[in-house]
Amino acid sequence: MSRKNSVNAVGEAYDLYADMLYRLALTHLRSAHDAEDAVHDVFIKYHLASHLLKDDEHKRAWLIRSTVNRCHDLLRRQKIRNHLSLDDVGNTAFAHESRADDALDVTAALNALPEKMRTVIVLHYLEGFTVEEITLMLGISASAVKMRLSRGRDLIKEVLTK
Amino acid sequence: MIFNEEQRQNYKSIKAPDALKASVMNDVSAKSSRHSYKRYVAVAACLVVALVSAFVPHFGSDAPIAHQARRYALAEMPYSVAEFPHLSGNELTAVLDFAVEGEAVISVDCGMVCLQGGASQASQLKIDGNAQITWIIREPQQTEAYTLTVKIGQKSYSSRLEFDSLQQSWLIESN
Repeated sequence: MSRKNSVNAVGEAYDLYADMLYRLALTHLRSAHDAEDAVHDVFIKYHLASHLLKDDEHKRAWLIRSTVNRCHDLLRRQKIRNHLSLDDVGNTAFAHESRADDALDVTAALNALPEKMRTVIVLHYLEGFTVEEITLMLGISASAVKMRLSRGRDLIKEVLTK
Repeated sequence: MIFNEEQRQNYKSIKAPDALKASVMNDVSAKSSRHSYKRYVAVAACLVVALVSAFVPHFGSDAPIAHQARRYALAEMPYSVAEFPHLSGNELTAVLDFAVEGEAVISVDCGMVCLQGGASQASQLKIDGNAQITWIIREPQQTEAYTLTVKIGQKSYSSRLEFDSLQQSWLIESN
C-alpha cells in the first residue's frame, strides 16, 4: 500500500468509527482526555496494520478490540500510578460534552459494571451490535457474550431502579 | 431493553472532538513520511557501501586480497610482484618478475638488487628479456619510501616501496 493510500485508509476509518471508539473508550476510562489518547493511539497502530485486515468487518473488529485493549492498558497504568482517585475519575467523565448530564445516568449505570461486562453491554445495547458481531470483535465465544449480557443487564437494572 | 431510546440517543450524541482527527492525521502523515525517508536512507546506504566496496582496495588482515589490489596498481609496469615485500630479520625482501623485450636497466635508491639465484648484488642491474629480481633493503625505516626505477630504451618506470601503517605491511606501488 502506498504512503498516500495508507494515510487515506486511516482517514476513512476515522470518519466511520472514531465516534464509536471514542464513546467506548470514554465508558472505560471515564476521562475525555484519556479517551482521546486511547483513540489516537489505536488509529496510529491501525495505520501500520490496516493492510493486513482483509475487509471492513475485520477492520471494525480490529479497531474495537484494539480500543478495548488500549483502555485496559491505560487503566492498568492508572492503577499502578494511582494518579486519579475514583472521585476524580467520576468528575472528569464526559466533562467536555454539552450533553454530559443527560448521559450521566447511563454512565453511572455502566460504571457499576465490571470492565468485561461493560464492553459487551455498550456494544450490544448502545452501539447495536449483534452477539455474533461481538463474538468476532472481542474474540470470545457467543455463550460468554450472552452470559456477560445477562449478568450486566441485572446489574444495570439494579443501578437504574435505585 | 435496559436503556430507553432517549438514553441511547444521548449516548450516541457523544462525538470525538474535532481536534482529535487533526492530531491523528498529522501523526499518521508524519510517521508515514518518516517511514519512507528511512527506506530511502537504507537504499542510499546500501548503494554507498556497494560503490565503496567496488573502488576502494580491501584493507584488513587478509593479505592475499590486499596484494592482489597492489598487483593491479602495478599493471602498467613492466613487471609484476612475485613475492610481496616481507621482513626477514632486519632485511626487507621483495621479488619481482620482469617481462621485457630487449635490455632494461633496474636501479634502486636504497638497498641492492640481484638476479634470482645470482650471487652479485648491486644498486643497479641490467637484464635482457624475462628475469626474476630480488630487491633487498637492510634495516628499512618505516618512515622512508624507497624507489625502484626501470629504464627500457627511452621509457622510464618508477615504483615506490613503503610501509603502509593502515595495513601494517610493506607495499609496492607504481609512482
